[in-house]
Amino acid sequence: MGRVKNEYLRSSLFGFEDALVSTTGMVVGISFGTTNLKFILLAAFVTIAVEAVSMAAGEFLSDEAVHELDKKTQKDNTLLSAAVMFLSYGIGGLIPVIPVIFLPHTQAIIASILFAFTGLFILGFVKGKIVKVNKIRSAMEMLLIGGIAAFIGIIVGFILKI
Amino acid sequence: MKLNLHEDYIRSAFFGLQDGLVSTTGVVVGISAGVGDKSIVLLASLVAVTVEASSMAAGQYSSEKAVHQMDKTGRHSDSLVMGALIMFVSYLGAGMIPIVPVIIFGPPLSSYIGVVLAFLGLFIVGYLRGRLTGEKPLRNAIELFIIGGTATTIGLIVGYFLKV
Repeated sequence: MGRVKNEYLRSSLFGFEDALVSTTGMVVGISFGTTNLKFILLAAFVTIAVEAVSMAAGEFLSDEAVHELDKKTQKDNTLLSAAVMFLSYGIGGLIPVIPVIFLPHTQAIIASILFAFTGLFILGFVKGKIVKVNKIRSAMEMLLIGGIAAFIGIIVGFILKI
Repeated sequence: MKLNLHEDYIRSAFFGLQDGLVSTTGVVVGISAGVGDKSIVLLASLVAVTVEASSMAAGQYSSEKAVHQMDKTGRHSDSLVMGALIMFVSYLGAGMIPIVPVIIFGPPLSSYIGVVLAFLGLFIVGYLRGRLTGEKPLRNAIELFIIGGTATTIGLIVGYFLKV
């Protein structure tokens, strides 16, 4: 039973965190290179759609590989785990994109980062509650790790500025 | 074949390799369908692959840590940092495969070459995975083909509809 919950917890946390971090990095990183809103949205939506599918598939296959390695009867459903990943990624990815649709360029970038960081904080807090550890600590850690990853994308966009 | 590698490292490595190949190809091809400018495609692809590699490493670290924290028995012997590092390197290495043609040839030719290279890569990854887990290598390779094809098609459709 514990193992089953662990798999879905892993999938949903992974999906949400990855979506928040990478979509923000993508949106902000590309915004340094171009101010064309249409292009930023193109890149963001292509990434979310492709990544949600790819992450769900990756979750399914890597889980299956682990099942095949230890031949014990596994109780978790790899398909459900993949669906959890897909939904988490899709929803998480939209959060930093929403400001880009509604706000002018510079404000959109700042709002996008704020949205994502708030999302990471809430995600870490909820995670802390589920696994019964210090919630604030868990939230800060999620924020820090996610923030570093997003920052790397932002730097790359800055360096590659067209 | 008996393995000394921790199963979570194997999960990380395969997840990184597959996702790096599948999603970078989807992103490169999808964005190329929406815009023809080489420098923009390259900017988006390189940002995507670096962001994703770090993000996947972060996601691997946090989600695995949550699993460790959930399971209070302390049976977990895998290093969280190692798992994250394996994810980063696998993703970045695999993700560069469909990007190299963009640097050399530029769109639209790079999309075709990228797809061929990525599918070749997926075949090799699927085959290796089959060897490691003792399952049919060919079945694994075909599974990866279907997934790669689906993700790339979805990238193409979104790119086509949001054409700049």
